[in-house]
Amino acid sequence: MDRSDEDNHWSAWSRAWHEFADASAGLGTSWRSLTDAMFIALTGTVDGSTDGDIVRAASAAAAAWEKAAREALPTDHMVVQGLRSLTAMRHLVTPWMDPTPWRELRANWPHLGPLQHETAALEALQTAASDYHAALLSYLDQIDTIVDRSLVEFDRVLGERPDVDREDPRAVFDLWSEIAERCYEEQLATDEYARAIADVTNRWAECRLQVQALIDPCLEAIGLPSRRAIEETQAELDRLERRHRGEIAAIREDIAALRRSLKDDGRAGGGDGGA
Amino acid sequence: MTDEHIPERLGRALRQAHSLQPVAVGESRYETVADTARGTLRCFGGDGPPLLIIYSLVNRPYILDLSAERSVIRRLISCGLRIYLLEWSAPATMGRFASLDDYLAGDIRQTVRVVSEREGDRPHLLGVCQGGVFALCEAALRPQSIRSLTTLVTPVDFHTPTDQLYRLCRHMDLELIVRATGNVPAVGLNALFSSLKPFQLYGQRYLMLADLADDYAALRDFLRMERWMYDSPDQAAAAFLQFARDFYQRNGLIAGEIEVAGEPVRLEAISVPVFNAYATQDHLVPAAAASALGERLTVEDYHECAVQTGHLGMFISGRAHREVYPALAEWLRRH
Repeated sequence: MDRSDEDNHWSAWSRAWHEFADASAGLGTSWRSLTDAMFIALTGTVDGSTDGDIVRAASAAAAAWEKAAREALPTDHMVVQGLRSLTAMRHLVTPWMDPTPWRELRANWPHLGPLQHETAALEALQTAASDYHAALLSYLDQIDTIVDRSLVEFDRVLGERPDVDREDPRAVFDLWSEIAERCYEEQLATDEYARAIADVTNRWAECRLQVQALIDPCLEAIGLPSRRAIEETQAELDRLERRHRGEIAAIREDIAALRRSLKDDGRAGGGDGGA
Repeated sequence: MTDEHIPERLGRALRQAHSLQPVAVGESRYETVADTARGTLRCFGGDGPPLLIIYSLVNRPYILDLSAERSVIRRLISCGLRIYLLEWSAPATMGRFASLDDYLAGDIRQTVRVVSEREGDRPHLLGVCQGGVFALCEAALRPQSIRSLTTLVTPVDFHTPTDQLYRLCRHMDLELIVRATGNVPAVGLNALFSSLKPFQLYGQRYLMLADLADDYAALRDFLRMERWMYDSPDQAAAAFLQFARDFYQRNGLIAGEIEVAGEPVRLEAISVPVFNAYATQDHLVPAAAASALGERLTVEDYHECAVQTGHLGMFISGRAHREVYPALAEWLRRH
């Protein structure tokens, strides 16, 4: 291909796109309906619509836009020819427009590429946060149970205790505290409560560790000390300190043994001298 | 005063409390005898046989000397004992690796040795709450180094039916939690303890302040206790994990599974006389958890003292000061 051929091709492309741009002013409406349909197809945000509805809507919008383009542009225009090719490929593409398998895949997406570890850490944090949230809601259910039971019991006891002056806020508060504490302790004694509070604490700890796993590499990337680095340093210092203490203790024992030995030698020497 | 409304009385008490802060605590004089890796040995003086007190890691020991009127330390000195106290230091962040082996085979053993050398005699050993568990371990491993063992509100069986702390922690993944926290923050432990009596501690206790308006001595006592309750050190991660897992979750003392620096702790190995004092209304260490010691010991010289009070009442109540400490001092002088 020589220089003049390249110029000719470029001129043809340039002219075609200019013509397409002029014509596309009339395609605005159908273009918008196409992009809307594509957005819905990809995000699945229309309430009550099935995946099939969304794909059909996207497909219809694409066909409408194609039709509008055909009417607006000459039939031999290269954009129209391109669209014809697309139309031919639509049957091939349509299965890919079905979001269901994508959603399933997203849930089981492998960690690939240079940011796979970061992606995995983010997903782990998302899971931990979600688990913590669920555990917190379960724990709050326990608190709800306690409050409900306390109110019922308070109402019952108040009815049975005419001696409690209902005009005296302190007396009423004391009675409420006593009853609520008792109901709380009863719930606290259940295995259900123990599991709920353990779960919320365990999930919080998991969340905390996942946040740390994300933060540490960021800190290290900008040259700041991470918790991981500090812990490694502390562990090494602790190891050295223990070794040092052990060595000092061994030296002290050696010195004590030597002193005893010197003392024994002195006694033995003194004894000999006196004999 | 009775005609006055609660908000007015409470307001006045709060203003008075503010004017009294900060309150002095732990005013008894002492001499610093030695520093260990994780604590300081103090001598509070007194004439008589030496008594070494091992306190818990969880709170500060000045509950034993909260005020001149209700000071366990002063009471024991006045009963003819010479008092030593091992006061634990709060762990630095690097202290997270300190294990129970370090505390027990390190600091406590060193302290017993120092007191013995200083006094020319083996000390009596007294452990308070968690410190009592440590003292039990030391008495089981080195009975020849002490004259007697006293345990105050000390849990031995951690799985008794009313043990709320065990109930709360039994399903917790302690390794995971400690990995997340490093040293366990005091605020978390305080929240755990307070959560056992939330209505009493967060509601009634402060409303009760209204009754203390104009009673400056009572207000001071209230503020001293308030200061102590929320003045706890963080816990060394490794030691906390071992204690909560091996003693609470696994009930290691009863199961005979505790080891200190590789040596198995057997309660049957305690051969010194034992004085076991506990509170019958204790919500932290149920009476049954403490009295279980008697069933596990083989030593004949075992004395039990149950007091009708709560956990803290063992240190500050008039009843405990009348019933426990004079009897303990007399028992110690006899051994």
